[in-house]
Amino acid sequence: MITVKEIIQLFMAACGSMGFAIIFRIRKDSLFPAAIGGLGAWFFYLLVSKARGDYMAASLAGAIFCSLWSEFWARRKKQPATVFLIASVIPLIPGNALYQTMNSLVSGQFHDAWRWGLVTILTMVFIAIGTSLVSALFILKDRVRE
Amino acid sequence: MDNLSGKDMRLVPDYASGERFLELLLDLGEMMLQSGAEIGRVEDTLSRLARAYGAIPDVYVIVFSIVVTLRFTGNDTGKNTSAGSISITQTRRVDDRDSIDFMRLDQLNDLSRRCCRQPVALDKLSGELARIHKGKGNVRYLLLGSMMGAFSFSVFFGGSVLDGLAAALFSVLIVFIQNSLGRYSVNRILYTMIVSAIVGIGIGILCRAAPVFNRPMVMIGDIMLLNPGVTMINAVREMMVGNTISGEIRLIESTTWALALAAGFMLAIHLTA
Repeated sequence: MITVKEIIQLFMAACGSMGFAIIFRIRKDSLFPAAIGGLGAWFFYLLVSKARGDYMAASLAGAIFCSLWSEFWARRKKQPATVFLIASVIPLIPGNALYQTMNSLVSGQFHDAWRWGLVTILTMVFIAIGTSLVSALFILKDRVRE
Repeated sequence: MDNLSGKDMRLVPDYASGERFLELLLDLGEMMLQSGAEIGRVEDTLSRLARAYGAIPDVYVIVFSIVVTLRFTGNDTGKNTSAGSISITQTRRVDDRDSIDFMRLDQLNDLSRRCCRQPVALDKLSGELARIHKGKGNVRYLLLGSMMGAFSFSVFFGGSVLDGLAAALFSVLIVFIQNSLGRYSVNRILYTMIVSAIVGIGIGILCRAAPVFNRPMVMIGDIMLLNPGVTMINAVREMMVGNTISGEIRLIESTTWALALAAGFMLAIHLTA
Protein backbone atom coordinates (compact mmCIF):
# COMPACT_ATOMS: atom_id res chain seq x y z
CA MET A 1 0.00 0.00 0.00
CA ILE A 2 1.01 3.54 -0.60
CA THR A 3 1.71 5.52 2.54
CA VAL A 4 1.15 9.20 3.27
CA LYS A 5 4.88 9.72 3.29
CA GLU A 6 5.13 8.34 -0.21
CA ILE A 7 2.30 10.51 -1.48
CA ILE A 8 4.13 13.54 -0.13
CA GLN A 9 7.30 12.29 -1.80
CA LEU A 10 5.57 11.89 -5.14
CA PHE A 11 4.13 15.37 -4.93
CA MET A 12 7.47 16.84 -3.92
CA ALA A 13 9.22 14.98 -6.74
CA ALA A 14 6.89 16.72 -9.18
CA CYS A 15 7.47 20.13 -7.55
CA GLY A 16 11.23 19.57 -7.47
CA SER A 17 11.35 18.61 -11.13
CA MET A 18 9.26 21.66 -11.92
CA GLY A 19 11.73 23.83 -9.97
CA PHE A 20 14.65 22.47 -11.94
CA ALA A 21 12.71 22.85 -15.18
CA ILE A 22 12.35 26.54 -14.33
CA ILE A 23 16.06 26.84 -13.54
CA PHE A 24 16.91 25.27 -16.90
CA ARG A 25 14.49 27.66 -18.62
CA ILE A 26 12.31 25.03 -20.21
CA ARG A 27 9.54 26.33 -22.44
CA LYS A 28 6.38 27.08 -20.48
CA ASP A 29 4.22 24.53 -22.26
CA SER A 30 6.74 21.82 -21.38
CA LEU A 31 6.96 22.53 -17.65
CA PHE A 32 4.06 20.31 -16.74
CA PRO A 33 5.19 17.19 -18.63
CA ALA A 34 8.62 17.61 -17.06
CA ALA A 35 7.11 17.78 -13.57
CA ILE A 36 4.94 14.73 -14.14
CA GLY A 37 8.05 12.98 -15.43
CA GLY A 38 9.66 13.55 -12.04
CA LEU A 39 6.61 12.14 -10.31
CA GLY A 40 6.59 9.11 -12.59
CA ALA A 41 10.28 8.50 -12.07
CA TRP A 42 9.79 8.32 -8.33
CA PHE A 43 6.66 6.22 -8.70
CA PHE A 44 8.54 3.55 -10.63
CA TYR A 45 11.43 3.79 -8.22
CA LEU A 46 9.07 3.08 -5.31
CA LEU A 47 7.27 0.34 -7.19
CA VAL A 48 10.40 -1.65 -7.97
CA SER A 49 12.05 -0.89 -4.68
CA LYS A 50 9.01 -2.31 -2.85
CA ALA A 51 8.76 -5.35 -5.06
CA ARG A 52 12.44 -6.20 -4.99
CA GLY A 53 13.90 -4.19 -2.11
CA ASP A 54 16.75 -3.19 -4.36
CA TYR A 55 17.73 0.42 -4.94
CA MET A 56 19.79 -0.40 -8.02
CA ALA A 57 16.95 -2.04 -9.95
CA ALA A 58 14.67 0.73 -8.71
CA SER A 59 16.95 3.48 -10.02
CA LEU A 60 17.24 1.66 -13.30
CA ALA A 61 13.46 1.41 -13.61
CA GLY A 62 13.00 5.08 -12.76
CA ALA A 63 15.64 6.09 -15.28
CA ILE A 64 14.13 3.95 -18.03
CA PHE A 65 10.75 5.49 -17.37
CA CYS A 66 12.27 9.01 -17.58
CA SER A 67 13.86 8.30 -20.93
CA LEU A 68 10.74 6.80 -22.45
CA TRP A 69 8.68 9.67 -21.09
CA SER A 70 11.07 12.26 -22.47
CA GLU A 71 11.26 10.61 -25.89
CA PHE A 72 7.48 10.60 -26.01
CA TRP A 73 7.12 14.27 -25.11
CA ALA A 74 10.07 15.28 -27.26
CA ARG A 75 8.11 14.07 -30.27
CA ARG A 76 4.89 15.68 -29.19
CA LYS A 77 6.38 19.06 -28.33
CA LYS A 78 9.05 18.97 -31.06
CA GLN A 79 11.86 19.58 -28.62
CA PRO A 80 15.06 17.66 -27.84
CA ALA A 81 14.50 14.76 -25.45
CA THR A 82 17.05 16.10 -22.97
CA VAL A 83 14.67 18.93 -22.12
CA PHE A 84 12.32 16.50 -20.42
CA LEU A 85 14.88 13.96 -19.35
CA ILE A 86 17.09 16.26 -17.31
CA ALA A 87 14.26 17.71 -15.28
CA SER A 88 12.42 14.46 -14.65
CA VAL A 89 15.47 12.43 -13.65
CA ILE A 90 16.35 14.81 -10.80
CA PRO A 91 14.38 13.03 -8.01
CA LEU A 92 16.45 9.91 -8.64
CA ILE A 93 19.74 11.67 -7.96
CA PRO A 94 21.06 10.33 -4.65
CA GLY A 95 21.30 13.56 -2.66
CA ASN A 96 20.54 11.80 0.60
CA ALA A 97 23.16 9.10 0.06
CA LEU A 98 25.74 11.75 -0.78
CA TYR A 99 24.94 13.61 2.44
CA GLN A 100 25.12 10.43 4.52
CA THR A 101 28.49 9.60 2.98
CA MET A 102 29.88 12.98 3.94
CA ASN A 103 28.35 12.91 7.38
CA SER A 104 29.77 9.46 8.13
CA LEU A 105 33.18 10.50 6.88
CA VAL A 106 33.23 13.57 9.11
CA SER A 107 32.10 11.65 12.18
CA GLY A 108 34.70 8.95 11.55
CA GLN A 109 32.28 6.11 10.79
CA PHE A 110 34.21 4.79 7.85
CA HIS A 111 32.22 1.62 7.48
CA ASP A 112 29.01 3.62 6.98
CA ALA A 113 30.83 6.07 4.74
CA TRP A 114 31.94 3.22 2.50
CA ARG A 115 28.45 1.78 2.37
CA TRP A 116 26.73 5.11 1.59
CA GLY A 117 29.45 6.07 -0.87
CA LEU A 118 28.81 2.88 -2.76
CA VAL A 119 25.06 3.58 -2.77
CA THR A 120 25.72 7.05 -4.18
CA ILE A 121 27.98 5.80 -6.95
CA LEU A 122 25.90 2.77 -7.90
CA THR A 123 22.68 4.79 -8.01
CA MET A 124 24.32 7.24 -10.40
CA VAL A 125 25.69 4.39 -12.49
CA PHE A 126 22.28 2.77 -12.83
CA ILE A 127 20.54 6.06 -13.68
CA ALA A 128 23.17 6.63 -16.34
CA ILE A 129 22.78 3.11 -17.72
CA GLY A 130 18.99 3.38 -17.82
CA THR A 131 18.89 6.71 -19.63
CA SER A 132 21.70 5.89 -22.06
CA LEU A 133 20.24 2.53 -22.94
CA VAL A 134 16.92 3.97 -24.01
CA SER A 135 18.40 6.89 -25.94
CA ALA A 136 20.81 4.52 -27.68
CA LEU A 137 17.85 2.37 -28.71
CA PHE A 138 16.01 5.39 -30.07
CA ILE A 139 19.05 6.52 -32.05
CA LEU A 140 19.40 2.99 -33.41
CA LYS A 141 15.75 3.04 -34.43
CA ASP A 142 16.23 6.30 -36.33
CA ARG A 143 19.30 4.93 -38.12
CA VAL A 144 17.54 1.74 -39.13
CA ARG A 145 14.65 3.74 -40.54
CA GLU A 146 17.03 5.86 -42.63
CA MET B 1 30.84 41.13 -52.08
CA ASP B 2 28.41 39.34 -49.90
CA ASN B 3 27.15 36.57 -52.09
CA LEU B 4 26.65 34.15 -49.21
CA SER B 5 22.98 34.77 -49.13
CA GLY B 6 19.86 33.99 -50.99
CA LYS B 7 19.72 32.47 -54.40
CA ASP B 8 23.25 32.84 -55.68
CA MET B 9 24.84 30.83 -52.90
CA ARG B 10 26.18 28.37 -55.42
CA LEU B 11 28.82 30.93 -56.30
CA VAL B 12 32.12 30.63 -54.55
CA PRO B 13 32.37 33.51 -52.05
CA ASP B 14 35.44 35.61 -51.55
CA TYR B 15 37.61 34.80 -48.54
CA ALA B 16 36.38 37.72 -46.46
CA SER B 17 32.72 36.75 -46.49
CA GLY B 18 33.62 33.08 -46.14
CA GLU B 19 35.63 33.83 -43.03
CA ARG B 20 32.86 36.02 -41.68
CA PHE B 21 30.28 33.29 -42.20
CA LEU B 22 32.50 30.77 -40.49
CA GLU B 23 32.98 33.10 -37.56
CA LEU B 24 29.22 33.42 -37.13
CA LEU B 25 28.92 29.66 -37.40
CA LEU B 26 31.39 29.29 -34.55
CA ASP B 27 29.50 31.89 -32.51
CA LEU B 28 26.40 29.76 -32.88
CA GLY B 29 28.24 26.58 -31.92
CA GLU B 30 29.83 28.25 -28.93
CA MET B 31 26.50 29.48 -27.63
CA MET B 32 24.95 26.05 -28.11
CA LEU B 33 27.74 24.34 -26.17
CA GLN B 34 27.56 26.88 -23.38
CA SER B 35 23.82 26.39 -23.06
CA GLY B 36 24.26 22.67 -22.55
CA ALA B 37 23.67 21.22 -26.03
CA GLU B 38 24.87 17.72 -26.79
CA ILE B 39 27.98 17.40 -28.92
CA GLY B 40 26.17 15.54 -31.68
CA ARG B 41 23.51 18.21 -31.91
CA VAL B 42 26.08 21.00 -32.22
CA GLU B 43 27.98 19.14 -34.95
CA ASP B 44 24.77 18.39 -36.77
CA THR B 45 23.45 21.95 -36.62
CA LEU B 46 26.73 23.51 -37.80
CA SER B 47 27.03 21.04 -40.68
CA ARG B 48 23.48 21.60 -41.86
CA LEU B 49 23.80 25.36 -41.71
CA ALA B 50 27.10 25.30 -43.59
CA ARG B 51 25.57 23.12 -46.29
CA ALA B 52 22.62 25.49 -46.58
CA TYR B 53 25.08 28.25 -47.37
CA GLY B 54 26.70 26.18 -50.09
CA ALA B 55 29.76 24.90 -48.26
CA ILE B 56 31.03 21.38 -47.75
CA PRO B 57 31.60 21.27 -44.01
CA ASP B 58 34.00 19.31 -41.87
CA VAL B 59 33.05 19.85 -38.24
CA TYR B 60 34.66 18.56 -35.08
CA VAL B 61 33.36 19.51 -31.66
CA ILE B 62 34.56 18.53 -28.22
CA VAL B 63 33.61 19.97 -24.86
CA PHE B 64 35.75 23.08 -25.06
CA SER B 65 36.78 23.37 -28.68
CA ILE B 66 35.19 23.64 -32.12
CA VAL B 67 37.11 23.07 -35.35
CA VAL B 68 35.40 23.75 -38.65
CA THR B 69 36.70 23.62 -42.20
CA LEU B 70 34.45 24.85 -44.98
CA ARG B 71 35.09 24.16 -48.64
CA PHE B 72 33.31 26.20 -51.25
CA THR B 73 33.62 24.53 -54.63
CA GLY B 74 30.97 26.38 -56.55
CA ASN B 75 28.46 24.42 -58.53
CA ASP B 76 27.82 20.79 -57.71
CA THR B 77 27.97 19.88 -61.35
CA GLY B 78 31.41 21.31 -61.78
CA LYS B 79 30.28 24.28 -63.85
CA ASN B 80 30.73 27.85 -62.81
CA THR B 81 33.96 27.23 -60.95
CA SER B 82 35.76 30.08 -62.59
CA ALA B 83 36.51 31.61 -59.22
CA GLY B 84 38.18 28.38 -58.11
CA SER B 85 37.31 26.65 -54.90
CA ILE B 86 38.30 28.00 -51.53
CA SER B 87 38.78 26.32 -48.20
CA ILE B 88 38.75 28.01 -44.83
CA THR B 89 39.39 26.74 -41.33
CA GLN B 90 38.79 28.31 -37.96
CA THR B 91 38.95 26.98 -34.44
CA ARG B 92 37.26 28.30 -31.34
CA ARG B 93 38.15 27.79 -27.72
CA VAL B 94 34.87 27.54 -25.83
CA ASP B 95 34.85 28.70 -22.24
CA ASP B 96 33.16 26.36 -19.87
CA ARG B 97 29.87 27.62 -18.49
CA ASP B 98 27.93 24.49 -17.79
CA SER B 99 24.71 26.38 -17.31
CA ILE B 100 21.85 24.62 -18.98
CA ASP B 101 19.59 27.06 -20.77
CA PHE B 102 16.93 25.43 -22.89
CA MET B 103 15.30 28.72 -23.83
CA ARG B 104 18.47 29.88 -25.56
CA LEU B 105 18.93 26.47 -27.19
CA ASP B 106 15.40 26.69 -28.48
CA GLN B 107 16.04 30.11 -30.01
CA LEU B 108 19.29 28.94 -31.59
CA ASN B 109 17.62 25.85 -33.03
CA ASP B 110 14.86 27.96 -34.40
CA LEU B 111 17.30 30.37 -36.02
CA SER B 112 19.34 27.62 -37.63
CA ARG B 113 16.24 25.85 -38.87
CA ARG B 114 15.01 29.05 -40.50
CA CYS B 115 18.40 29.69 -42.07
CA CYS B 116 18.60 26.15 -43.41
CA ARG B 117 15.30 26.61 -45.17
CA GLN B 118 16.06 30.08 -46.47
CA PRO B 119 19.61 31.36 -45.93
CA VAL B 120 19.58 34.96 -44.70
CA ALA B 121 22.20 37.62 -45.31
CA LEU B 122 25.21 37.52 -43.01
CA ASP B 123 24.42 40.86 -41.41
CA LYS B 124 20.99 39.62 -40.45
CA LEU B 125 22.38 36.34 -39.12
CA SER B 126 24.91 38.28 -37.09
CA GLY B 127 22.19 40.53 -35.68
CA GLU B 128 19.99 37.59 -34.71
CA LEU B 129 22.89 35.85 -32.97
CA ALA B 130 23.73 39.01 -31.04
CA ARG B 131 20.11 39.33 -29.98
CA ILE B 132 19.99 35.77 -28.70
CA HIS B 133 23.32 36.26 -26.94
CA LYS B 134 22.06 39.34 -25.15
CA GLY B 135 18.78 37.79 -24.00
CA LYS B 136 19.56 37.01 -20.41
CA GLY B 137 17.72 34.85 -17.95
CA ASN B 138 15.38 36.52 -15.55
CA VAL B 139 16.86 36.32 -12.05
CA ARG B 140 13.38 36.11 -10.55
CA TYR B 141 12.70 32.88 -12.45
CA LEU B 142 16.03 31.47 -11.35
CA LEU B 143 15.16 32.36 -7.77
CA LEU B 144 11.71 30.84 -8.05
CA GLY B 145 13.08 27.61 -9.54
CA SER B 146 15.87 27.31 -7.00
CA MET B 147 13.59 27.91 -4.04
CA MET B 148 11.09 25.42 -5.37
CA GLY B 149 13.79 22.83 -5.97
CA ALA B 150 15.42 23.25 -2.58
CA PHE B 151 12.13 23.23 -0.70
CA SER B 152 10.76 20.22 -2.55
CA PHE B 153 13.80 18.03 -2.15
CA SER B 154 14.25 18.93 1.46
CA VAL B 155 10.71 17.73 2.15
CA PHE B 156 11.10 14.89 -0.34
CA PHE B 157 13.91 13.33 1.68
CA GLY B 158 11.92 13.55 4.88
CA GLY B 159 12.31 17.10 6.13
CA SER B 160 9.54 19.15 7.69
CA VAL B 161 7.99 22.16 6.00
CA LEU B 162 10.20 24.32 8.20
CA ASP B 163 13.33 22.53 6.93
CA GLY B 164 12.12 23.07 3.41
CA LEU B 165 11.69 26.78 4.00
CA ALA B 166 15.19 27.01 5.45
CA ALA B 167 16.58 25.19 2.40
CA ALA B 168 14.69 27.61 0.16
CA LEU B 169 16.16 30.52 2.10
CA PHE B 170 19.68 29.23 1.55
CA SER B 171 18.97 28.64 -2.13
CA VAL B 172 18.56 32.42 -2.37
CA LEU B 173 22.10 32.68 -1.02
CA ILE B 174 23.27 30.20 -3.68
CA VAL B 175 21.70 32.21 -6.49
CA PHE B 176 23.22 35.37 -5.06
CA ILE B 177 26.69 33.80 -4.92
CA GLN B 178 26.30 32.41 -8.43
CA ASN B 179 25.42 35.84 -9.73
CA SER B 180 28.26 37.63 -7.96
CA LEU B 181 31.21 35.36 -7.23
CA GLY B 182 30.34 32.93 -10.01
CA ARG B 183 30.96 35.51 -12.67
CA TYR B 184 34.56 35.97 -11.65
CA SER B 185 35.40 32.40 -10.79
CA VAL B 186 38.43 31.07 -12.63
CA ASN B 187 38.41 27.61 -11.19
CA ARG B 188 35.23 25.64 -10.97
CA ILE B 189 36.62 23.19 -8.39
CA LEU B 190 37.64 25.89 -5.95
CA TYR B 191 34.42 27.77 -6.63
CA THR B 192 32.23 24.74 -5.90
CA MET B 193 34.15 24.09 -2.71
CA ILE B 194 33.75 27.68 -1.52
CA VAL B 195 30.04 27.87 -2.34
CA SER B 196 29.39 24.56 -0.60
CA ALA B 197 31.37 25.61 2.44
CA ILE B 198 29.61 28.98 2.72
CA VAL B 199 26.15 27.47 2.34
CA GLY B 200 27.01 24.54 4.60
CA ILE B 201 28.39 26.73 7.37
CA GLY B 202 25.35 28.97 7.12
CA ILE B 203 23.02 26.01 7.50
CA GLY B 204 25.14 24.56 10.31
CA ILE B 205 24.99 27.79 12.27
CA LEU B 206 21.25 28.14 11.75
CA CYS B 207 20.60 24.59 12.91
CA ARG B 208 22.71 25.01 16.01
CA ALA B 209 21.03 28.28 16.88
CA ALA B 210 17.53 26.95 16.24
CA PRO B 211 17.28 23.23 16.90
CA VAL B 212 13.82 23.05 15.31
CA PHE B 213 15.67 22.73 12.02
CA ASN B 214 16.95 19.34 11.03
CA ARG B 215 20.40 19.89 9.61
CA PRO B 216 20.61 16.89 7.25
CA MET B 217 17.31 17.75 5.61
CA VAL B 218 18.09 21.42 5.12
CA MET B 219 21.50 20.55 3.69
CA ILE B 220 20.17 17.89 1.33
CA GLY B 221 17.77 20.37 -0.23
CA ASP B 222 20.66 22.62 -1.18
CA ILE B 223 22.97 19.76 -2.10
CA MET B 224 20.41 18.77 -4.72
CA LEU B 225 20.76 22.23 -6.25
CA LEU B 226 24.54 22.22 -6.28
CA ASN B 227 25.44 18.66 -7.19
CA PRO B 228 26.57 17.95 -10.73
CA GLY B 229 24.39 14.87 -11.12
CA VAL B 230 22.82 16.11 -14.34
CA THR B 231 26.23 16.73 -15.89
CA MET B 232 27.27 13.20 -14.93
CA ILE B 233 24.23 11.62 -16.53
CA ASN B 234 24.74 13.67 -19.66
CA ALA B 235 28.39 12.65 -19.74
CA VAL B 236 27.53 8.97 -19.77
CA ARG B 237 24.89 9.48 -22.45
CA GLU B 238 27.46 11.35 -24.51
CA MET B 239 29.75 8.35 -24.33
CA MET B 240 26.98 5.98 -25.31
CA VAL B 241 26.21 7.85 -28.51
CA GLY B 242 29.82 7.78 -29.63
CA ASN B 243 31.39 10.97 -28.29
CA THR B 244 33.61 9.03 -25.93
CA ILE B 245 36.24 11.69 -25.35
CA SER B 246 33.77 14.49 -24.66
CA GLY B 247 31.81 12.22 -22.35
CA GLU B 248 34.88 11.22 -20.42
CA ILE B 249 36.07 14.78 -20.04
CA ARG B 250 32.68 15.75 -18.66
CA LEU B 251 32.51 12.71 -16.40
CA ILE B 252 35.92 13.40 -14.88
CA GLU B 253 35.05 17.07 -14.48
CA SER B 254 31.73 16.44 -12.83
CA THR B 255 33.18 13.80 -10.51
CA THR B 256 35.79 16.31 -9.43
CA TRP B 257 33.06 18.89 -8.83
CA ALA B 258 31.13 16.38 -6.74
CA LEU B 259 34.24 15.75 -4.65
CA ALA B 260 34.71 19.49 -4.25
CA LEU B 261 31.11 19.82 -3.14
CA ALA B 262 31.59 17.00 -0.64
CA ALA B 263 34.76 18.64 0.66
CA GLY B 264 32.97 21.98 1.16
CA PHE B 265 30.03 20.46 3.01
CA MET B 266 32.25 18.19 5.07
CA LEU B 267 34.24 21.18 6.19
CA ALA B 268 30.98 22.89 7.15
CA ILE B 269 29.68 19.86 9.05
CA HIS B 270 33.01 19.50 10.82
CA LEU B 271 33.09 23.15 11.86
CA THR B 272 29.49 23.41 13.03
CA ALA B 273 28.67 19.93 14.36
